[in-house]
Amino acid sequence: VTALAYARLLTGATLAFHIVFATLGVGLPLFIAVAEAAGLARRDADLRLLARRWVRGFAILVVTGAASGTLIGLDLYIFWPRFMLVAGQVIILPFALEGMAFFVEAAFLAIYLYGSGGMRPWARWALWLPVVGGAGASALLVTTVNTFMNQPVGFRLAGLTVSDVRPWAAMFNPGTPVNCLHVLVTAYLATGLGLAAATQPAKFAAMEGLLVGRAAAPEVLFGWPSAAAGRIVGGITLPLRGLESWLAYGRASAFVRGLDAVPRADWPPLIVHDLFDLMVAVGFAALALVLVYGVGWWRRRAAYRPGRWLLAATVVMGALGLAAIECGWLVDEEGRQPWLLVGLMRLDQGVTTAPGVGVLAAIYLPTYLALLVLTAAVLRATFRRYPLRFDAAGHAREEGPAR
Amino acid sequence: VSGQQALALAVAGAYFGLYALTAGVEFGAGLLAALARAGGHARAARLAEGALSPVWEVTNVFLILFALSLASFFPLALRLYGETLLMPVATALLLLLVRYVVFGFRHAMGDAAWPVYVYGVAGFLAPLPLMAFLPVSEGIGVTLAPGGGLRLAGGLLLASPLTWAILAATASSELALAGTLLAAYAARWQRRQEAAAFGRWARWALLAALLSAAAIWQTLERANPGHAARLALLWPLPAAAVPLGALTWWALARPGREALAMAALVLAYAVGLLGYALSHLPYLVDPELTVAAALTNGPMLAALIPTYLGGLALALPLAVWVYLVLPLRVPPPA
Repeated sequence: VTALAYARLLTGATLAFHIVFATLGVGLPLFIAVAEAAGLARRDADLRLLARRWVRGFAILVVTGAASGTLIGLDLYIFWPRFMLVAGQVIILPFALEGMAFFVEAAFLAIYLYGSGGMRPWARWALWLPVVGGAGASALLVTTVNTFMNQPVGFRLAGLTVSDVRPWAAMFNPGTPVNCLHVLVTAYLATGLGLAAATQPAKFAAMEGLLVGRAAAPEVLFGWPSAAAGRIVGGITLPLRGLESWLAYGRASAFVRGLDAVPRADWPPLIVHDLFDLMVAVGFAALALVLVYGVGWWRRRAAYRPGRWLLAATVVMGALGLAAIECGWLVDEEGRQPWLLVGLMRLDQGVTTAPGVGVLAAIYLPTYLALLVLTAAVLRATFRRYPLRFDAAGHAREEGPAR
Repeated sequence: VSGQQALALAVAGAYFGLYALTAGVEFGAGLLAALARAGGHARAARLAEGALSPVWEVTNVFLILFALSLASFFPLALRLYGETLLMPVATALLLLLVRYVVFGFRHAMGDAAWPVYVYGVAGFLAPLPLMAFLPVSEGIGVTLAPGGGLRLAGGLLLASPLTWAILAATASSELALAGTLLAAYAARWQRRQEAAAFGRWARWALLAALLSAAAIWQTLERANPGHAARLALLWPLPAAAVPLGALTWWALARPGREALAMAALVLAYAVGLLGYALSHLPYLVDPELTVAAALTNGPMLAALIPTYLGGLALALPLAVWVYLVLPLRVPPPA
C-alpha cells in the first residue's frame, strides 16, 4: 500500500470522525438558542429544561469536536503540503475567517459556561448568540473551501506555481451560495443536483450511476452501476420519462453526460451512486416523519402526544441522519476523485513525500475508534449522573457544569 | 525587510506569541496539578485544574490561528515545515488529543487520580515535538530530499545541543508561566498557602528557563553562527529579559506582588522572543527560504492583512477577558 493510500485513509477517517461532532456542534447551538428563547418568552419551564439538557450534551460533544477539528486542521499541512502550498496562495482566506469564527465561538462558550452566573436570563441568552453565529459562520466558510476544490476558480496554476490570484473570487465561487444553503439546511434534491449536473458532470454521472450519456434519461434508484454492462444492474427505474434529465436541467428531453465522456482513469468510484441514493432516501424518510408530527399537531394542537412507535422512529432517524451526513460527505469527496482541485491537481500531486504515514495510520485509526466509544460512554454517564429530576429541580446550576 | 513583509511577520509573530504564552500557562498548569495531586496536595491540584478549566478551547484556537497565519502569509514556509515536521506534529497532535479528551471528560471519570496524571503529562509533553520547528528553522536536523525539498533527519535533530536547549527552555517556561499565574490566582482567592507553593515552583522553573535561554544562545554559536552574530548585534533585547526575570523572581517571593511577577515575566518573554525572532531574519528556514521569497502574492496579501488585523482586534480583548478576568469571576475551587 502506498503513502498516498494511507494519507487518504487517515485524512478520510479524521474527517469522517470529525463531521459527526462538527455537524452536531453547528446545529445544537441554534436549537439551544431557539428553545431557550421560546422558554423565556412563554415562561415555559419545560422548554428551558430542554435547553439546559442540550447544553450538557453540547459541552461534551464540543470536547471531541474541538480536539478532532484541531487534528484535521493540522493534518492538511502535514499530509497534503503541496496542496496547501497552492491553497495557501488562493483559498486561505475562508480558512482564516473560520479560525476567527472558532475563536469567537470558543471564547463566548467559555464565558457562557463559566462566567454568566447571576446574569439576567435574557442577557445570558444573548451571550449564547456568538456561539450560534461562530458555529454557523465556520460551517459556511469551510463549505466555500469545499466548493472551491470542486470548482477551482480565481487563479491560474502551472505545476505548483500560482498566478493571477483573485482571493475573493476564489472564495465567492459561483457554486458557493447553493452549496452553503445545502450544508445549512441539507436540502439537497432541489438545489445540489442541478448544480452538480451543470458544473461537475463527472460527479453527477457517478451520483446517478449514468455510465453512458443519453437524452431523456430516466431516474434509477440504487442497484450496482456496472462498467461492463454500461448500465445500472438491479436498480429501480422510476416510471417517469426523463426524470433524471429534468432534475439535472429542468427539461425531460435534455441530454445528460455520462461517465463515457470522462477518461476511464478519471472516474470516481461507482459506489457514489448508492451512497447518494441512500442519503436522499434518508432525507425523504425524515420529511415523512416531520409530516406525521405535523399532522398530529395540526389535529390536536397542544394536547398532541406522539406515540411510542413514533418516538422510537425519531430516535432511529437521529442515527440515520448522521449516516446520511456521512454518505453525503462521501459522495462529495469520493465523487471528486481522483482530483484534489478538479481538473488542476490530483491527489498524488498534493500528498506528502515524507515517510511514516502508514505508521501514523496504524496509531490514529484505533485511537478514533476508542474516542468514539469513550465519547458515547461519557454522554451516557453524564446524563445518568445528572438525571432529568436534577436539572428540573434547578439546583442552582444556572452557571454551568460543576467544577 | 519591506513594510508588507514586516506587517505579515508581526501578525504571524503575534499569533505565535499568543499561543506560546497561553499554551505555556495551560499545559504547565496541567503538570502542576498532577504534581500537586501526586504530592498529596489535593486542594492545590483542584485549584490548578479549576483556574484554567474555562480556557482550553480558546488556547487551542490560537494554535490553529498561528498555523493558519503562517500558511496564509508564507505558504512556501508552511510547505517546508509541513513536509519536514510530519512525525513531530503528528506526535504532538496525538498528545493534544489525549490531553483535551481526558481533561474535558475528567468529571465523568470520577475522582480518581489517573486522569489528572494522564492529562497533566500529555499536555506538558505536547509542545515539545512542536518545538522541533525551531531547530528546523535554523537548518538543524534536516537533509535535502532526493526529489528536492527538505526531509527531517531525526538523528541529526536529536544530536544537536541546540535542540535540547530549546526543549529545556520550553519545558521550564511552561512551569514558570503556569506557576506564576496560578500563584496570582491563589493570592486573589486569599489562598496564601497555595500561592506560596506555586510561587516556589515558578521560581525554580524561572531559574531553569533563564539557564536554558543562556544555553540556547551558547549552542546557537555552533549551530548557526550567522544567527548568533545577528543576535549579538541585538543584544539589548535578550539582555533586557534578565532584569525582568530578576524582577519576577523578587516579586514571586513577596506575598501580594504576584500580579507584578506575571507582568514582568510576560515582558521578559516578549523581549526575549522578539530578540530571537528579529535576529532570525531574513530567513524563515535558514538558509533555504527567506521572508521575501516566502511572502504570498500581492492580491492575497491585500485581503489577508485587514482580515488578520481585524482578528487580532477581536481576539486580544476577548483573550484578556477569558484568561485574566473570567477565572476570577467564579468562586475558587474548594
